[in-house]
Amino acid sequence: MTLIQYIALFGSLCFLVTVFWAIHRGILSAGYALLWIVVTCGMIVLAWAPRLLNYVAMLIQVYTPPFVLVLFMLGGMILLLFQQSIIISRQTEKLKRLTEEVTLLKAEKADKNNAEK
Amino acid sequence: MSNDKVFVIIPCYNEAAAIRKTVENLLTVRPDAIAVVIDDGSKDNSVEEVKKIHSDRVVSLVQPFNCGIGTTVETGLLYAYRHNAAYAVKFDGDGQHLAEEIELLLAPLRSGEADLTIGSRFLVVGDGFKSTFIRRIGIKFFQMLCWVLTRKTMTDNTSGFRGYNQEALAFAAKNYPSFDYPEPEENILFIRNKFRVKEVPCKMNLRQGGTSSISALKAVYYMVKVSLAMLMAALRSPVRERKN
Repeated sequence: MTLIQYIALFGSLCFLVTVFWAIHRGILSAGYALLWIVVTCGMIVLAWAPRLLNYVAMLIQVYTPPFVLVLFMLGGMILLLFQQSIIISRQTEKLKRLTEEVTLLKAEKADKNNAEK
Repeated sequence: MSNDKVFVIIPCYNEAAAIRKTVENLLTVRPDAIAVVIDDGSKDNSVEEVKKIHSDRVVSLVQPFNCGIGTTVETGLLYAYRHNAAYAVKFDGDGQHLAEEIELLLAPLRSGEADLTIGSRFLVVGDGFKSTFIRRIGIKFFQMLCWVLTRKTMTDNTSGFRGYNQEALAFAAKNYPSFDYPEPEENILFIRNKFRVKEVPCKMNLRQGGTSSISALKAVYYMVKVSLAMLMAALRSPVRERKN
């Protein structure tokens, strides 16, 4: 193994530890945790066996193997961002509904209090 | 059983200067009206001004924080819907809309001619609404865009003076656009969902107080944002099929 492989492996393991720390602290939900564990495992495999990139590059006829990595990373990021946008939109809609209900309940409570007085 | 009262939805954001006068005038002109004032996290004393109005026909709803005009209006529409309102009217808190003109919005709803009525400043013959050149360009552009997307000519896409029958109210209470400037998007949404939308000529006042939500600097940004929202509304599949 070369020095850069050791560095990449160390970095990936550190990231994996961070993911588990986030799960342990309860700040990362199960669905996302799984996604990041899979991503980190991919990083570890690539750090361990970078020749895999050459193999994939040959398969999809890309002449410069690092570009394969860039391609997959970019594609993955775009998909992830899109998925996050959908989640944010859904959460915004739920927050809106919740705010409306809170507003109406507050008014209802004030009405009841006034009626009791 | 539906409630015979007309629920007048008044969104309010920093309208302390005008809100009390607007609501009091509305209650005097329309003895059948229930004023539902929804405060959208005002930083001034709008809420206190509303509390000063001593009438059992005033409902004050206070949102926990600033949510934007779309959510504010939807909260009011939801309130009216849950209280079985037969008709609801959206009315500005800054004194721009005239309580005397509410009947013009309600007449086509009562006769069954329309589900949603919109007060148009530009259909008034003679003493029409005066506007700046830039604003007129914007209005023409929205007219054109609305026609392209729905094949229906709407002269005043940004008018906030609107009347809803029970069916339109049920729809709006669940599907109102939660956008900063929801009216043009609302038009597309209602037309695409096969509601009968009708414009009626209505006079409008100049603002009595508060600040307009659109400054000159934001005009271009507003145009782009609203156009995109209209396009998005046209792309969305209709959620309702008209009975009959």
